[in-house]
Amino acid sequence: MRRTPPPYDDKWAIARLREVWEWAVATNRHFVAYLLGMAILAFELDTGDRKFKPSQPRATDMAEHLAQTKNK
Amino acid sequence: MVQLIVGATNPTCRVLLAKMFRHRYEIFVKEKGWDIKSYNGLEFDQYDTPETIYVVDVDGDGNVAASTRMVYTDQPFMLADIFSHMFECEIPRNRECWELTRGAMSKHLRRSGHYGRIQCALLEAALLFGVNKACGLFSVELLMSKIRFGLDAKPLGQPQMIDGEPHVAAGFPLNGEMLERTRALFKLKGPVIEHIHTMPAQRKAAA
Repeated sequence: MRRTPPPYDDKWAIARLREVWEWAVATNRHFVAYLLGMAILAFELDTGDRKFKPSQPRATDMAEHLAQTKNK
Repeated sequence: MVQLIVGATNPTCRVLLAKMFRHRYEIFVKEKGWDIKSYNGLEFDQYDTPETIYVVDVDGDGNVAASTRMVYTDQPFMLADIFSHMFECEIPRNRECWELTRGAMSKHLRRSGHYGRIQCALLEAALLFGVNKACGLFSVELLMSKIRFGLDAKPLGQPQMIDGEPHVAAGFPLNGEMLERTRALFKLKGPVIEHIHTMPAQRKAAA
């Protein structure tokens, strides 16, 4: 059976993310924009060899933020 | 006690300026290990000019606890000169927008009231000088926490790695509403700036 490779790759994914990032900036959804910006950066840093490690403080930061939002 | 200083060469507060440059050396060169110029234990650069404005928080013993530097964006400023690639929009260049750099705070004081005082002093200074926007290069981690504190920051570009840490250019408003919100957040009741050191020429003009 012939397999057609999917039309998606890192470039495609980053381009789509960028579109949403631009929308988030334009609509003043700045927190979303930062998260998307970080996602784009993660794509750029992740070479696919499983060596990408998100920094620990930021992960804790987000956990704290989610905990605070839950408590509200 | 927060003091506002106009001018890196202000002759009326040479001692305080020297203390601030020494404090910056301690923080940025010794503690953070930044590869920047320093001179005999003082850290200053081409953006410390007679037009640069500083807010400096001094502790009870007369030592600098925290400081930050504001540069008018119609003058040469670091973001435009060195980090222009971090912008994906027009670089601000006007008298109503400051660039914030060299935010320095002693390590042992980072959970003390000095941080809140410096933030309020910055907003008070902006109202005083008719400045309504600020921009700067921040670590994403710091900016995220500032947004959680209520800062209405807008990214001006994509985050990029600098010294192994993601940084992003951001801009945010400086206005009375922000000042009220920041005062409430840090439980400050009134103005924090206690002394303003203008440059002698400005004082003469004001008189």
